[in-house]
Amino acid sequence: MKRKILLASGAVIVLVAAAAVVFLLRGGTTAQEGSSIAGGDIPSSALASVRLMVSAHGRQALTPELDATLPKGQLFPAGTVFSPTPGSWHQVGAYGNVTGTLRVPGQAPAVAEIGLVDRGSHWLVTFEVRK
Amino acid sequence: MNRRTARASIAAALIAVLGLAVVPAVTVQAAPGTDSCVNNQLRQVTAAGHAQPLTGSVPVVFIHGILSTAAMWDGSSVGSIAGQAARMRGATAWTFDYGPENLDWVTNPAIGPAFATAIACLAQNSGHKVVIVAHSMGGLATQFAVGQPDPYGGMVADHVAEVITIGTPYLGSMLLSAFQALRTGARWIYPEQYRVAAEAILSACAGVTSGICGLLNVLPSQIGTALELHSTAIRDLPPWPTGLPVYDIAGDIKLIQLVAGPLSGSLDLGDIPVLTDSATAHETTGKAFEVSCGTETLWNLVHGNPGPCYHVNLPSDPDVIQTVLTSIRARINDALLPQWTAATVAPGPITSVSCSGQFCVAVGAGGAVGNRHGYALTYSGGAWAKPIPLGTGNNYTVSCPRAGYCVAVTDTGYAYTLQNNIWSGAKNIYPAANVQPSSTDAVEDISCASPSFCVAVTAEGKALTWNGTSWSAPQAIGLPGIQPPVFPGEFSYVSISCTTAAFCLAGTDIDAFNAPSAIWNGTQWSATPPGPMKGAFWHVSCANSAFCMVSGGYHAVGDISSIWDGAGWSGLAQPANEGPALGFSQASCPKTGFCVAVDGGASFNGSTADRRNGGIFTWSNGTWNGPELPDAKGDLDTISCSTSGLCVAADSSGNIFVNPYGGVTIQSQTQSPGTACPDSVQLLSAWNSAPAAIRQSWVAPQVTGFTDIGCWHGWVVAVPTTVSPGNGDVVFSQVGSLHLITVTELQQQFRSAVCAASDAPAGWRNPPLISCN
Repeated sequence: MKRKILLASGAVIVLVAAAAVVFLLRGGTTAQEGSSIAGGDIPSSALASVRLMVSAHGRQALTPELDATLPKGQLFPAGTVFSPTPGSWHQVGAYGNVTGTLRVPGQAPAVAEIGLVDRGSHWLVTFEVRK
Repeated sequence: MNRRTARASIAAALIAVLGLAVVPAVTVQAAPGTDSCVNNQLRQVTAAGHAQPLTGSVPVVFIHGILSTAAMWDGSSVGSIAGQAARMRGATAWTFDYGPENLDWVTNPAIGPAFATAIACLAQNSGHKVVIVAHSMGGLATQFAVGQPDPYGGMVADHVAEVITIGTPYLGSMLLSAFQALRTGARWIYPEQYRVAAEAILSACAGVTSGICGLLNVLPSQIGTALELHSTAIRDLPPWPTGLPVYDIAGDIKLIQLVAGPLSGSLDLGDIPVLTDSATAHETTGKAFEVSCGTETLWNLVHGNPGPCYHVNLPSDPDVIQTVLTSIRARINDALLPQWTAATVAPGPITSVSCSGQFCVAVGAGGAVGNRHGYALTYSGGAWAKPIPLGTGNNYTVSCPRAGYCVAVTDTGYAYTLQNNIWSGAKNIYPAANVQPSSTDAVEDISCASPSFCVAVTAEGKALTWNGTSWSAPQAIGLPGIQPPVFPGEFSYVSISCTTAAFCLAGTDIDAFNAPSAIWNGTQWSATPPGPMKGAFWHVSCANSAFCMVSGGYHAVGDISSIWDGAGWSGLAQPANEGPALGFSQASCPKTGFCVAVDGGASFNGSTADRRNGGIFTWSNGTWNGPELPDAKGDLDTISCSTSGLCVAADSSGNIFVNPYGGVTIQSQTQSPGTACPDSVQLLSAWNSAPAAIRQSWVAPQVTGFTDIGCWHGWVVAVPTTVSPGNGDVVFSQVGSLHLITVTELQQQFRSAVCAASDAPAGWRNPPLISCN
């Protein structure tokens, strides 16, 4: 009987300790809560937004807030192409980014990174930056 | 694993991720007087492995910010702020560490309250106020700490000389608030661009944990909320105490692009976590120091190096290091330079003082005009003797070319000579002045270059010369406009300063437009080019033929002092801390580039509307500093500083003030006759000529020049200016050719010479240079 009590007590202590550690770790770890993907392929819906961004209707791919901060006009000239680098998709929670090659007519190809946010029904672009 | 340990582990992991903990913790070394303050949080930064004693030092304590530890100050590096502060003469450097608690708010007992205790202990055991250098949230921990009661009495703020903050979010963090708003969906009331930028950073930080992305780790913590813009936690901090100097340093980065082309306008990000407005929200010293880095792209912010303006990089930016060290050095000087003290009170007004070596005489006259009787007080051996009565005279002036030898003259034309501690009887040197009340040709001033060469000047511009035994007949100096007087019945104040028998400079104020002056070259007087000074109370003091200062002038236009450089005049700006009502009564210049002046205050202005405190100002390194000794009566009239560093000032109420080291830098300029003190170029040449091993023994790499050059009996002590700073002092010898001495010579020959001599510069006798104890 004593042995059972001891075992039970030990189990409780272990569980409590484990819960405490988990609690503490959660309390101090990243704010980017949610599932995490590192080095995967860009989701098709996100890729669709990226392609929309380099099209003539590129502004529709942006978050409305970002769109409002930009000067009026088309983002990229016709013929701009973005080719994602395979395995370059990173995602934490609702936020992700992809790296690839941006080809703007008349300019040398450039390594670019595009950020996106999952607004529930679709991904929207939060930034595009060239190296 | 207890909670503290668990959190410490998390913090340590974050620090490692952020790349902040790049050096081992600084070494703790016990020194006399330090034991009672040192603990797990407060540690001394050692200079070259040696801990300076806390007692008598000015403690400089460094406190880190969020997601960091005391290791961020990199005290073991000679180039860091803390490393350099530890090497400053007169300072001890300390770091305060709350790394295990750095996800908690500053009210945590191990942060703000513990820091308050540390400050109080350092102040109590050092005997001096503490200088605080705070990074990031360390500034808010300081705000909390200085608002606490001091266990030794008063408030902690009472024992703080200055707080220097680097990237402190006085108002909170805009970026953190934006992250929180995105995270929680809270209503966003600030400019939309910041939330856009925050969302871009959140996207960019997927897969990145270092650099600015590390900031995201604080979001769920206590400080993640406390450091939000205008948070309740910040609002609830004790207000900054009035009168506590706080100097802000901020970064200034602008984001110019988020997608495709540029933004409509650049977005001010400050140092990224902290906007410039927030980092400079509580600034009391005049102007915050902003490090501007221009524009940046998001790529560089997240994947590259955001540069010196970035929050984490600010404390290691060379410009920031320099401005912090300058501020620390000023506070050390404030604390350690001996202060003016009221020494004695004369029977009446003191009109003139003169010092030579450690000896001074003050003279004045009391009683009704026309029936005034003079008195003289002698300062010798560190004390003032009782006043000795002199004869009748309305105004006395005195000059002591040598300790124990002085000549005093009255406006009425009588001279008294002090020799062997005995004043001679009155000798009528100029009967023309002997008219009561004061004649239009009263004797106004006297200056002695030696016991055998004094010149007294009169209101009509005549000079009478003393050769050690007799006075010459009056000789016209040749000051245009002085005779006949522009204003009949009034007479001008003529002043003279002689440094040798072959150089005197004399001058006067005729009216608001004319202040002629002339030079004596040993055989004759000749007029100088016109100077900028015009008007009242023209007074001159010369260190040599190439450096004189004239004080007085029309204060209303800021024309209160000018310098003679041997060929011409240049006007000086007013002291920064004084308004247009300032007016100097006199200045005393014991050496080139160094003068001490008294502010005539109310007595100068003669108007209660303009009444202001008098004070003492020091001209050094091309700028005015002060005031020291604010005189509530505002009537400081006269001052004299000897080349040995003794200064005496007096006011029209008979109060005499002494500063034994009023010209502390003068002391180090005392030099054997015939040996010039080398300049920075000469010292640099000697430095570069020294064997590398000797140079390295001084731990002063990449020297670019020298400042604070002091000379004494063939020794030269100077502070190197360096690219990568090292020790505070370097010692050269002028025996033979100028050369850098070895550390062995420092501890033997130099130490023996300095410690054995009573007139050696006081600052040379103390650590870290040497110790005479």
